[in-house]
Amino acid sequence: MVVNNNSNHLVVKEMVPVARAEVAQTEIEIDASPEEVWEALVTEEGRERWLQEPDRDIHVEVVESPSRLVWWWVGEEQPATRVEFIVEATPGGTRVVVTESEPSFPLPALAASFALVAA
Amino acid sequence: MSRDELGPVFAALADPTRRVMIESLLRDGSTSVPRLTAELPITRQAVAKHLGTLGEAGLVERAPAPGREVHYRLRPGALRPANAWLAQTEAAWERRLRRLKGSVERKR
Repeated sequence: MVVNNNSNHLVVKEMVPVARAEVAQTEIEIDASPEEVWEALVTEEGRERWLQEPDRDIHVEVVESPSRLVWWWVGEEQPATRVEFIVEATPGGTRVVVTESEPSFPLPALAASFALVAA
Repeated sequence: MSRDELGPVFAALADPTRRVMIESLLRDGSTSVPRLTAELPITRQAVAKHLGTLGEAGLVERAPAPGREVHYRLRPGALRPANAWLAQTEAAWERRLRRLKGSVERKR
């Protein structure tokens, strides 16, 4: 953090981790091609076989076949979240990286810092 | 703990000056009103008011310190609920991704 105190204006730079927005990131390796994995992510029929999330509606924001998919999850019980999938070929198959974030609540990253302080 | 109970925490941290104060505590461990007043372009009274808000949100507490000056520190575990939410979200994705892997590999 840098605070510029030379003028009467408060200038704050590098607010990481406070301003970091990503929340949760998980990944997995799958023994299949990126196209096969993509099919399971992007089609409703494919998602029915693994997602099991009936209480939340999916609003797709970005479709970059077959490597990047972004959707918003909207449900009545919880705040909307943004889910991003990165699908990439590996020597053995395909890696899927999922990031779920809740843009109006960018603070879990800060919470992690608190946990370090408390440890 | 429900996400609603995090409301005062997020409200306290919505202010940029209070976030600077938290960053200062993350860096230095503890601080005091005179020290924050020297660091920030705001009055001693404003510093005390912001500290009060952080205290009411349960983020900051008085720290034991020698001498007459009152020191403040981050309250350990104050943001654990937010941290628990993160862990839950990641665990849910681990389960979903295992099901995804199973469904795709079975189809081959």
